[in-house]
Amino acid sequence: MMFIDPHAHMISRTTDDYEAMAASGVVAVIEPAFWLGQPRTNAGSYLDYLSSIVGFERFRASQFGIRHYCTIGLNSKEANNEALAEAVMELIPRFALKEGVVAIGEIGYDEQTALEDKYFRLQLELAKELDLPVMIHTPHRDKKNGTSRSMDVCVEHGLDPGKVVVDHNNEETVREVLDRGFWAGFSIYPSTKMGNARMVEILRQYGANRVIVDSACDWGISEVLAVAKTARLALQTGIPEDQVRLACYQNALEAYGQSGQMKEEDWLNPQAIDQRAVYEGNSILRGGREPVVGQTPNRRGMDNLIIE
Amino acid sequence: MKAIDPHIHMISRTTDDYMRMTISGIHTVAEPAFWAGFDRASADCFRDYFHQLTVVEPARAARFGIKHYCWLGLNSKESENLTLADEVLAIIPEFIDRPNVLGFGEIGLNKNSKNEMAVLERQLAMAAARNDLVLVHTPHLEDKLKGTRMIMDMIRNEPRLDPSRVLIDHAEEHTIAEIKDRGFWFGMTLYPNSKGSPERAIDAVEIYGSERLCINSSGDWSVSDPLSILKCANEMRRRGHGEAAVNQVFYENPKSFMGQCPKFVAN
Amino acid sequence: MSAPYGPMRAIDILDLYFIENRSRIMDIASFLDRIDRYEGADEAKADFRYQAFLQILDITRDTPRDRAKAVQVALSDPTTEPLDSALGMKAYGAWKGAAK
Repeated sequence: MMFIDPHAHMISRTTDDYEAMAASGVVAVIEPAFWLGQPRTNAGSYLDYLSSIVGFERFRASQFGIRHYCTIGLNSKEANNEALAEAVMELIPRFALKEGVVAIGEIGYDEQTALEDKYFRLQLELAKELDLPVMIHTPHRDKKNGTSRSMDVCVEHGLDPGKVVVDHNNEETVREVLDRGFWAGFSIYPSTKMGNARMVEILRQYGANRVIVDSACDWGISEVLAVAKTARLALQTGIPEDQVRLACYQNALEAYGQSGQMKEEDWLNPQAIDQRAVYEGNSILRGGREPVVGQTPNRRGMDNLIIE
Repeated sequence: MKAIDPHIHMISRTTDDYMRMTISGIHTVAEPAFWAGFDRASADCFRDYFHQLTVVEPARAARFGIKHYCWLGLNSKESENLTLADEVLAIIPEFIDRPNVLGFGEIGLNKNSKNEMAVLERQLAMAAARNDLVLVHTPHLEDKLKGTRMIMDMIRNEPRLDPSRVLIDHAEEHTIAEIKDRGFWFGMTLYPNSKGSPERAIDAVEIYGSERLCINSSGDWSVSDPLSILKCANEMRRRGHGEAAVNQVFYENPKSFMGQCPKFVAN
Repeated sequence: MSAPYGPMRAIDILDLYFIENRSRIMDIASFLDRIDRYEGADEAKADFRYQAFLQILDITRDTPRDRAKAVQVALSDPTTEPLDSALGMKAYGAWKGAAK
């Protein structure tokens, strides 16, 4: 079974994680631009970060047989530093048009301040202008109101809910998001967001239409195999296979495929892995390590549902 | 056993790695400033990088009971850009006195070019002026022998630098004897697939003795293994070396070298 | 070499490492065979890296002691002058200058 992890901060993960993801059936990941655990003090850091997610990280993933896409945006936490935010907003349009960028995101609210609101709206306008999908980060505190408000603002700016993924949902927010026609993302992240047993219950109760499962894995305690493990648990507990496929693969492809930057052929007809390839003259093979060449990743068919 | 990894780039590793390290006995690590995999466009990015190394990463490590130290400097790969180098060297003084900073590192040579030498020379002078410890990166592959010799000559031209306060890292069979003869510490790096196997590192212990040697993983964003020093310790045991000798190489030695900086206390 | 360092004897070392190193020789032999099997083998065999590889095989067999060091030195750049610029340069694992 093939999976997409549509929310994974791979720059904070290891090559071991890429290998494990590929082995579990993950064929593509989407890396949303976000906060780094510390506030950036200047736009120069932002520029290098955006360059790394559209370039070096994409290259690093390809060396393990995984297609890497990203979203570009100013996150809500750093929107509160106005000088930084202004400078970053200058950078965003040119990065948003690069190859492999599938949405504007993750944008939205953190503490629901006036500055967060300002830059959220500016970026929604940009998404509309560039005709790109949007990935919304919903706040951890006051989640229910923050989620409703995020959708209100999208509607106010005339965005099509079918092009907006509202992420980090839980039992409290799922109904409204689905009822209003948005895509509903769920981050299976230990301790703080959602466990996968709860996720399976949501699938049972609401079905998988417009539901998207992701890991949101990053530099914190998180699980790169969250999508594959959720799929397996769902299958084991009797969720129909077509529903699992929607939530763990197809819906992400439908939602972000609207960018025109993400197609199934990208991984169905992959190039063989060639670690001799270089990125701007630089290899991932530090210190003369041996390249792995020509080992086409093992794509598991639908007949082999159990991930071991 | 307890062990110290004196060279590992933890910002590129996961919390799973921290957990595996801490339950395996690695309770102290040191992270040299290095190249990110791509050339950074501005010195401002280094400001945020140095903040991460001195504030954020030690806090992340502390959640797992691991003490995190770091080394600051401009790596040799980005030293080819002299404008960037000027700007990065100018911001180092703002960070160098932070509580987990051990000294200048990893600084050194990559392709043995004139610009790399110029930037290394300036950083050696900065370290000498402050009496800081130095962690030196040596070039890879065919450039290593020449580069290691050039670096040692440069350090000898800076009489304020005491070789016993300098560790020359990524040493291999053809460079160890010269490094040791000149009174420096030397580092050996363990990579999973190619050079620097546990077997060869322990061969070096047997041939050259364990004095002034630190073994490290250099784990980073490429294929690497944060437990490699423990696998190497096991190779030493497998050949019949006693526990005290193993402890000397993997715990006492890095403690002695880094302990020359008064900020360093091993867990 | 320092004094004997462990309870093992040379025959124990042979016993401990023989199988894995036997396998490494197979890897090397099949690597050379693979080059022969593929289109353009002559071009590959003229490459400075291939020539260096044959040379270090000889060194490994013919050097009476310190073989690893001799192999390292044979692959190293023996010059002493700094490069004018490192822009666009990379390391190959064998010294290109040796082929000239």
